[in-house]
Amino acid sequence: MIPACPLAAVSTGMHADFATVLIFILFGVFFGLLALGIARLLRPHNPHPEKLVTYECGELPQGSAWVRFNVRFYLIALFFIVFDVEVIFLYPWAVVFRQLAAAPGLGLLALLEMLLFLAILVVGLAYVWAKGDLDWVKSLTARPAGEEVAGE
Amino acid sequence: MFESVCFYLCGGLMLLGGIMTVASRSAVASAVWLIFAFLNAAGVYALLSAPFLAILQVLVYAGAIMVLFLFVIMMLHGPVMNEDLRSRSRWFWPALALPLAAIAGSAVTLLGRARGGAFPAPAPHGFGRAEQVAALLLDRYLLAFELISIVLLVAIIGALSLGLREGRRT
Amino acid sequence: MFETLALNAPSWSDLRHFVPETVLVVTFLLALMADLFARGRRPAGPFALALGGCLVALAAAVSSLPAGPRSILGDLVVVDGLAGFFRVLFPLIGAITILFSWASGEIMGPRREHKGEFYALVALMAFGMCVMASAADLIMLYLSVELVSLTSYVMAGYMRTSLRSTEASLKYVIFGSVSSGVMLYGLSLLFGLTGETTFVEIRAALLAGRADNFALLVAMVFVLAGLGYKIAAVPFHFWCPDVYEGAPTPVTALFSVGPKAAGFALMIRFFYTTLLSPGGGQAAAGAAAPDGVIVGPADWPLLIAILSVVTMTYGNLVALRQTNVKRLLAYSSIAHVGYLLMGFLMLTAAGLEAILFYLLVYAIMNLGAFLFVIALNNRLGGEEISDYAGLSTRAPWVALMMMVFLLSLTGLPPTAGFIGKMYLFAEVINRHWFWLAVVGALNSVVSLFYYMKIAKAMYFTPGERAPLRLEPLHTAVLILLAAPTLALGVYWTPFKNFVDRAVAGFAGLGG
Repeated sequence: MIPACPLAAVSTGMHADFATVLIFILFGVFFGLLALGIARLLRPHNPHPEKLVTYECGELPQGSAWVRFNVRFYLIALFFIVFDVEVIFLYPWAVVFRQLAAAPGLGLLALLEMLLFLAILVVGLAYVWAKGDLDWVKSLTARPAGEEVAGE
Repeated sequence: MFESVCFYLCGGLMLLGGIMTVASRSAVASAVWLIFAFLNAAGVYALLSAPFLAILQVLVYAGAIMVLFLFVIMMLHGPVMNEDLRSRSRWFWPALALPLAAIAGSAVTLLGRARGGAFPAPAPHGFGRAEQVAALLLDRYLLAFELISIVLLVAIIGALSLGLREGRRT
Repeated sequence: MFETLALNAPSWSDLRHFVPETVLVVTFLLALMADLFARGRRPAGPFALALGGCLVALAAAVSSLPAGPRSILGDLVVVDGLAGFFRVLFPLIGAITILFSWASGEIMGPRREHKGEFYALVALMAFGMCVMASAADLIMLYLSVELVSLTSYVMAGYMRTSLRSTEASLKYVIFGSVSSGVMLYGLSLLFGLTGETTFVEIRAALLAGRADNFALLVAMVFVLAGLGYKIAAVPFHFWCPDVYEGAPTPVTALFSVGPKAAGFALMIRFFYTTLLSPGGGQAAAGAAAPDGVIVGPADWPLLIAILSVVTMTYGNLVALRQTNVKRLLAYSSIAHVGYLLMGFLMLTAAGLEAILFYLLVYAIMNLGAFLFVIALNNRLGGEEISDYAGLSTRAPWVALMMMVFLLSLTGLPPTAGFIGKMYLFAEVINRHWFWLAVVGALNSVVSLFYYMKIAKAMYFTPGERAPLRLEPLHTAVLILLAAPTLALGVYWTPFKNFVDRAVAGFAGLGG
């Protein structure tokens, strides 16, 4: 059985919290539509193909806006996700930490548990850093000595 | 009642997002539809007593992972897929049949639930909030929690060792 | 407010029953750090650390025997006979892999980067597999499978400049993520049906009849699909040949025994624990442990029998057509999974003994066969059957050792493979599944053809005559593996006792 949450007393009417979110969303959508609707009523209707051209500070756009991104963006995004997930795990810990710290001994335990979690990921960060993969320019030009690049 | 309406609305919109993700002609449009599906999934989680998971879904999936997807799309093809990628492969029918079978299976399961009470474990009060997740992670599931950091570390190494080769050569 | 937290928190002293795993994970972190400071062509630091770590873990595992059934660290893992058995096996496999990678051109060649990281990953994989063998909770099940899978993806793509290796890694990732998604769905259904995450509690909930039968069947089949992927049983095997062929051979050798055995370990613990009603049936005459009653939702034995037959037949028939030895061994390893599944049929103690014994034997003989491929790849630069022409004159002892491995893989006396198969078939016949035994025997005959294709090339096809000298390290490890393959075929009592003790101490059978 799922152990009952020790903080059960704190949580009342969970869906009520999300009702707030729902109201926010509804209002957000409503105001967006409202603005567009009013604009539609007020503005003159005068279509012209030039108006659909991408705005490039007054110049005519050249070529396609779709360019091939460098693979390094992708890699940085990957690292970002990993550390993003790490932060996700920090969040619930941070929520209860103050209460844990109040109880004798538990605060230190919780701190150590989280430090261990972080330490392991810091190894990852150190690894990425030392291998020069956070270094944009270096990975473009310099290579470690004594290693060839040729494909097989 | 109101909750049920929200649930089916979110579920239906999620399904729509999923279908449009597969059916869109432009890969970028697919990605945006996927974000839409993820957001509705977050809504479903919120209604299913998993508020923390709902927040996480928005932050990680609709946020970070979709950025990654967009980078990949931009890295590979640009916005529009090639025609040969869009042509119907011999896997089309299996690919269509599999989700249908899954839906049918789930439906039968649900009918079974109505018959014999298949899902008897109701979520306890306060279930799924960040506090409870923390209480479980730091307590009973401590080993799993630390193991997650190892898994993330491997993910870093994997990204590094599989990802950067091409970049270095250019 | 947090009394419950203080009460339930897994105490750190539990770690003293988790020493081999702790050693392995620390080894991984240290080797990874050492890699950052490694200089020169060969990463001696990570290599020594990883090898040493595996050996220390092995020693710790052996000294912790017999591991009493003990549920530790918040009941997430169980240290019992089964876990004890596998945590001896996995560091051993890790150490052997590390040893023969050191002299392998594919891993240590001049064009490789991040060589040290490879050794760190082997240690990590050994850790992940040990956790798989002791996982007793759905969350640990999933996490450990993911850990091993992620490590595998990285290792499969280790030859980054090789297109084949990259393709292998990509296929592995895609099939892997689909199957782990399916498994996760099954696990979530199971949790939804029972409201529990530990295997033991799930069994209690199922025995109490809290789950709908059809939903339970769906959940179990999905879990079976995820684990079937790890062991490469047939409908889930698509990745196997391509990955085995594309990955560097030392990695293939590791894949063909390590994750496979770990998948079996997890399957054993999961299905024995959740599907067997403890003591429901009284001890069969002469059996060491009472055989439980299967409480599963469907005709479990028939399901496994079909899976087993399809797997072994497919593996063997396709293996017949292969000319690349790595691919041939990949299909043959699928066939071996089919044989192993025969032991799973009735979820009995005797079946478990047969599986464990065969896994042990299979690890030795398959590592040996792959090591032969690695050693010759270093010298010949290829792994086609025709490359081995005339090997009996060029390197007679090496050819002879390969003959031993091949005979053992076929299951012919006087080798260990014969004994292993004997136990498996005995179990099937004792349970009166005669047709399955016949199919298994026919399959063994088919396998003889393709194993002997290699033997024929070595002994009867004329080729070059210049003597061939292998890396001394490779020869040494080959001898280390060939000797037990032969010895176990003649005198296997100590190993059988080792296996029996593991089964006797298995918590899933109430040990």
